[in-house]
Parts: sequence; C-alpha cells; structure tokens
Amino acid sequence: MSKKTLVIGGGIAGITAAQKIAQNGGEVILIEKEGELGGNFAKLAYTFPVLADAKMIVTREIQTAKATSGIEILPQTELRGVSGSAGDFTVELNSPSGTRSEHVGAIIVAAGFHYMEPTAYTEYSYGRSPKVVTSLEFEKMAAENRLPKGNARVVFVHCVGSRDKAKGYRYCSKICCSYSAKHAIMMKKANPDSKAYVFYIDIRALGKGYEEFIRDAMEVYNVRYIRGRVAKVIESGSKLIVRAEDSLIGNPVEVEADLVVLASAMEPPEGSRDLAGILGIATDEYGFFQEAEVNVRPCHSSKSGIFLAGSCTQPMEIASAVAMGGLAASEALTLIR
Amino acid sequence: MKVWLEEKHSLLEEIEARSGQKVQECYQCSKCSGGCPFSRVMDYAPNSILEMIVYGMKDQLLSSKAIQMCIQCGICGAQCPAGFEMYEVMNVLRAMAKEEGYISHETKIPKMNNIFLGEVKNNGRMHEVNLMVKNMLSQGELVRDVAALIPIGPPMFLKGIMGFGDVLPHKIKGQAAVAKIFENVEKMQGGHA
Ligand SMILES: Cc1cc2nc3c(=O)[nH]c(=O)nc-3n(C[C@H](O)[C@H](O)[C@H](O)COP(=O)(O)OP(=O)(O)OC[C@H]3O[C@@H](n4cnc5c(N)ncnc54)[C@H](O)[C@@H]3O)c2cc1C
Ligand code: SF4
Ligand code: SF4
Ligand code: SF4
Repeated sequence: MSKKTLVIGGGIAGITAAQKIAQNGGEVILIEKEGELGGNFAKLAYTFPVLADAKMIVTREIQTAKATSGIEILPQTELRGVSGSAGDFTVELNSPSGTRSEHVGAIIVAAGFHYMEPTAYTEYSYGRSPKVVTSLEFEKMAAENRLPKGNARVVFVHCVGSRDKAKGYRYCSKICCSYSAKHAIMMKKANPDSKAYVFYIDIRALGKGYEEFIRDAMEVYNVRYIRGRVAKVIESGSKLIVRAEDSLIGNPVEVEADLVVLASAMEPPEGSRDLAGILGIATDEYGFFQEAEVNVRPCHSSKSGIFLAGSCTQPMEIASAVAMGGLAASEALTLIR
Repeated sequence: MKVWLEEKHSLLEEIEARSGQKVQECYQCSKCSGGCPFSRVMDYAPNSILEMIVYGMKDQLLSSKAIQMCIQCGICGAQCPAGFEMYEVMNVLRAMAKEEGYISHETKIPKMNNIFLGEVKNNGRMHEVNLMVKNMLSQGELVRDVAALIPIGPPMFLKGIMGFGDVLPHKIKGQAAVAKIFENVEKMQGGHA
C-alpha cells in the first residue's frame, strides 16, 4: 500500500486537489504536460461573476502549491503506463529527463478541457477574417490591451459548436453565457465608446450572482441582447455584417461589426480517450471522463482508486473545478490512509 | 391571437410523417430564419412555421405566403444545428394547401418558385441562391427568366433576394442588371460565388 497520490493535470482542479491532500498530510506527485501550471485559468484576464483579477488568483494558487511540502511538481510530464490496483498502482512517468516508475495508492485525473477551434463554421467567416475570433482569443486580446478602440461595435455569438448536433456537440457548454457577458462588460469598461451586442438562444447563467451579473451587463453597461442564433457573418470591406433573425420580433436583423467573438464549445481534453485507455477507465460519448455515479459519486471514475476532478468530466467554471478538486482529494485520502 | 395547444398533435404528426423531419428536434434557435433569403418578406419566418405546426395552427399555415415563398435552396438546412431540412416541411405544407383547396392569390411568387424548383430538379440543391441563378443563366434560360423573376413581387420581396439596404431598380433589362443581381446576391451570401 502506497501513501502517495498521482495527480494528472496542473490546472486549478489538479492544483486544488494537490494542495488539499498535502495540507492533510498526504504526499502528491503532480504531473503537467505543459511547461507551466495553471491550465486554461492562466489564459484568462478576469473572471466572472465579479471581474476578479485572474492572473493574480491563479499565480497565488500556483505559489501555494509550490510552497506546500509534500507536493512534487513535474512539468512536461505525461503518464505512459499503469499497472496494479487501488492502493497499489505502479505508474510510468515520462518527462524530458527520462522515464521513471513510481508507486502510488490513488490517482486523480484533472486533465481539463480543450477549447474547440470553430473551423467548421465557415458561415461565421472564422479562419477567413482576422476580425472573427474565439472567446479565448478575446481573453488574450484583453490581457494584451488589444481590444478595438474608438466607437467600435463588437458582437458576441453564443452557442458556437454547443447545442448543435449537426456540426458540434449536443451538450450546452454551461459557462459561455456567463463569460460572454463578462467579455461584453470588459469591452465596455476598456472602451466606453464601444457598443456591444450579444446574440443568444436562451441565457443560461446558473450560479451565485451569475443572473445578476448578466442583468448588469444589460442594465448597467447597456449591452444589447438579441434573441436569435447568428446565421451568417459576412465580410464587407473593412467591416463585418452579422446577420440573424430576432425571433422576438420575427424579423431579420443585421449588425455591422468591427469584431465578432465566437463563444466556442468546451470539449474533452486532447487525447482523453488515450489517457482513459492507459488508466483503464471509461469516457462518455464525447470523450469526457465518465463518473461512476453522477449524483453522489461525481469524483469516482469507473475504476476503484482512480478519481476525477474538474472540467475533464464536463464543461464547468472555476468554482466547480475547485470544489471537485477538493472532493477528489478527500476521496484519495480516504483510500490511502 | 389566441392559440390552443391541442392534446392530440394530429397536424404535427401528419407533417412529421410526410416530411420525414422530426419537428420536435428543432432548437427554436432561429438560425434558419436568419439565413433564409426570404425570411424578411415571409409573413411567418421559417422557425415560426415550425412553432405554428406544434400549435396546430393549420389554417394560418396553409394560407400563409411563407410556404409558397420557400424556394428549396436548403441554406437553412445546411446550417441548422439540428440537421433539419426545412424545405421538406415547406413542401408538405404546400402540398397540403393544394390538397385542401387553399387558393393562393399570389401569382408571381409561384412563378418565381417554379423557376427555382426547376433548377433544383435539374441540378440538385445548391444551398446558395447565387449558384442557382448562375446555373440557370448558363442553361440558356438566361436574362429573360432572371429578369422576369426580379420585378415580380412587392418591393420588400425583392429586398429579400437582394440583401438588405440595397436600392433596387424597378425594371431590370439586360446584362448590366443581371450583373447587379449577382453582386447583391453574392454580398448577401458572404461572397461565395
Ligand atoms: C474563454 C473562457 C473564459 C472563461 N472565463 C471564466 C470565468 O470568468 N470564470 C470562471 O469561473 N471560469 C471561466 N472559464 C472556465 C475556466 O477556464 C475553467 O473552469 C478552468 O480552467 C477549469 O480548470 P481545470 O483544472 O478543470 O482544467 P484546465 O484549466 O483545462 O487545466 C487542465 C490542465 O491539465 C493539463 N493536462 C491535460 N492533459 C494532460 C495529460 N494527459 N497529462 C498531464 N497534464 C495534462 C493541461 O495542460 C492543463 O494545464 C473560462 C473558460 C473559457 C474557455
Ligand atoms: S452556456 Fe449559453 S452560450 Fe454556452 S452553450 Fe449553453 S446556452 Fe449556449
Ligand atoms: S435552424 Fe434548425 S434548430 Fe434552429 S430554429 Fe431553424 S430548424 Fe430549428
Ligand atoms: S429552403 Fe431556402 S427559402 Fe426555403 S426556408 Fe430554407 S432558406 Fe428559406
């Protein structure tokens, strides 16, 4: 029986799980395939629902993990093989310095999500016009102070690749309504002369303060919400024309825009089925890791001793990823103690 | 207008069976109507047509102009997140209107439709109105038919074909006018000729 836990993925879910295990006397090996910890959180400028400083928070959490004794952090490291069973796994870890073998009692999978490249959406001119970007690119533009200046018009497009069984995924990505409102507010704050439009099918903002946050976008920041899924984004000279049907008035509408931001789908992390294969655990129809029981065992994978945390199970916001990281930590501790 | 939700969706069931399309799979996102070249001039937008089917509003549906206006271009279906082929539904509604003796007083729209439907029959569905027009021109039906097609409807109808905000000539004669049609249709569709 080994008292160590392997955590796969150094996003906020994995960082939280590692912290909680170590703070309770456990030992952790945290592997991250990239060079740095932080995952997608580290790519954000601000966070809903309070416009908190994302870089500050994620840096603080990474520092805490690094300063906590009992956590060994291995960047640029991936899992190559697993044998054994709950309480007594042998794992093969591959990093630039070579391969090593470790004994661990429990494994937590926190491999996060991948952001869909909406290349299939040619009707939105994505990949054709540099003025059509994804929401993740918008975060980068905001962080680098590259948002449109002057009386620019910016259009935010909901549900690109989500709720679309023809070209994308059947599921709802859950948080794009909220981060699109955040982006519209960020736009208005960075440039009060700008105009922001959000095209939605329906607004899904389920979390403490989320509905109020979206109402503030409308009521305080004068963001214009238009009910209809965008049909086309047409390049027209130096501008873009966004066309949709406003289903509340039953008439087509067009907005001339300087920037169009596509809220693309959160999809399973790259290579999730391969990783599941190595671990011998199940994935769902999309490739997200499958929980053993959705309601009361959200952190249990289909195999004893292997737990799940964060957005590798379904699209979710930071608070939920943190909550799952904490629960996965306590499940691991229960097993190895 | 007062609408009643019937307990038995007989109209819905009939249309689903005849069209092979599952109306209930529609997300009611209205993307189809945003992309339909005629939505602006239809009395009911394509997504509203589907909702009216669910409500069983048979009389309003079968007497509507919208069902006569659909030219089966299939733009809506190509981009529909539910993979839903609206023109199949429109076809069934048109057939039902005919069967049940609903007489359309619109003479110009069916004429234009016939030209487009002929095109669909001969060359398949193109999903792009400009391609259809281009094909028709190359078939020798040429300027006469396209020109005949343009000044037929009320001005609003023309705008539906041309895209919004375009100033339209009232009479179209010859090549220059046809070139203008293309320019506008291409603009409307995002420059994919
Ligand atoms: C545009 C956008 C805006 C957002 N805005 C907000 C917001 O304002 N507020 C909010 O609460 N949430 C927001 N989110 C959501 C937030 O990014 C996620 O909730 C959060 O990143 C989830 O953390 P995670 O640890 O589950 O996954 P991730 O952040 O994806 O981290 C997963 C980590 O695992 C690593 N990894 C993956 N596979 C492996 C492997 N095989 N081996 C080793 N390592 C691996 C990855 O490199 C990554 O570092 C936003 C998301 C997007 C796309
Ligand atoms: S959260 Fe909102 S924008 Fe995202 S898929 Fe769901 S409904 Fe669409
Ligand atoms: S685009 Fe498809 S899913 Fe959306 S309203 Fe039209 S038919 Fe329904
Ligand atoms: S087939 Fe063409 S004309 Fe008919 S509803 Fe669809 S987009 Fe409109």
